[in-house]
Amino acid sequence: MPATQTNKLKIAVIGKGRMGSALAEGWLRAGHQVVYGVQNAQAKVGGPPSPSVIPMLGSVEASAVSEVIVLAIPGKAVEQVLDEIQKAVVGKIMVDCTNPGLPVVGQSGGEKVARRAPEAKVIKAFNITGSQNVESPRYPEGPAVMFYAGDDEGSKKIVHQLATDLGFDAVDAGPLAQAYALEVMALFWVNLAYGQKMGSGIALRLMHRDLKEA
Amino acid sequence: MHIAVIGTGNVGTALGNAWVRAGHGIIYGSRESESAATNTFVSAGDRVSVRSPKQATAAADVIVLAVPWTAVESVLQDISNEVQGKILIDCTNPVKQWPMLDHSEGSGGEQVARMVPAAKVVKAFNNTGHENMVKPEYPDGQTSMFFAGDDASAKKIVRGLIMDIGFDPVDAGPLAQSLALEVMASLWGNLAYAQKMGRGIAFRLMRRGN
Repeated sequence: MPATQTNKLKIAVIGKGRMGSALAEGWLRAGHQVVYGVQNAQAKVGGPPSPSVIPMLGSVEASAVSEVIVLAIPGKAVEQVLDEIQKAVVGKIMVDCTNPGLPVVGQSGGEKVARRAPEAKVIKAFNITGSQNVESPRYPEGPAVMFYAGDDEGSKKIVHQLATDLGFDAVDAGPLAQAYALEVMALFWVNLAYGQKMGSGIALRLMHRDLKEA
Repeated sequence: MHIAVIGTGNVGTALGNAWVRAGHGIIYGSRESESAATNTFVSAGDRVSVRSPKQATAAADVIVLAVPWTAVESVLQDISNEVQGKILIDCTNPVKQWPMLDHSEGSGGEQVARMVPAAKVVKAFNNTGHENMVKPEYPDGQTSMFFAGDDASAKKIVRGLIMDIGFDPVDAGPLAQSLALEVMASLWGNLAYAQKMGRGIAFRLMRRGN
């Protein structure tokens, strides 16, 4: 897809938790057309007012009207939601932001998502850091890094742009098999923030230099 | 402090040279203790010496394991008596073929601790390239060095040794976090090679108020 067409995308964010909301609000600000996909869409109308108006649809309908489907739900809900939306995601980009428990090499959450939705182009992204960093990826010293991993180059270009739109330093971590590393990194962030009590105001940065000048 | 650096490869010499400059005494543990490789060490008179791994370990307060993963088991068997009660810094990564980790037996750090149960094992200096150990300072800031271990007093000493080199130290928690530190090493290797970013890359943990 040429870059000009990536400027404004139709994005379905499945899940309206803090992570889903941070992503949806960020992309709305960047000019994309965003809808939430939620279960029982009707029941949630009339809830607390959102800071901006993003339509809430059922997960299947939201996926059907969108080009990019973003999975921002708890790890344990993944299988059920994928089974529901499977037909509506055929041939589309699916961004997997979820985290399983402890990932296993070759059976990472990202690879499981790809097996469960084999006709979607699955890219692992937005799973390695807290929602506070998705809301505000820029630190005083620079942008937080956002690693993504996937097997479809064209889809990765679009996800790269979506990460950049939010303010991240987007970095291609390689094929979808690297989802294992990204999911371990997510657990590591949680460990530092809460286990090590550093708080959620921490983020990884990837620094660069020319070794010949080092 | 007397530090035994077991292994005279890129990582061992980068760490040894940096600690010599910080004023520590370095005893390299090498199976070819008189080899030509010793010429690459920073010359610092009697603050640098080369002995067998066993002798180096016996003479040191802190032992730094900087050998290839395939050599870990035999080296640890060799120094198992001398390392008792001492701090052992594990800089290795359990790889079949770099940067493909083999975690089928658990993290490398925990495997090392099982092989020398009487040592205080701290995982560190495994999660970045040796060039970053020579010079941890980037234009954008200091490289972070994550470390993990179960002995709080040993970790305090390792934190000091990390700072002596110029890294930003980050306590990553118990030794079980070695798994994450090893995955981070693998990710670094993937970015540097498979993703062709080159070895001039480093992770830094940024902080801000919540």
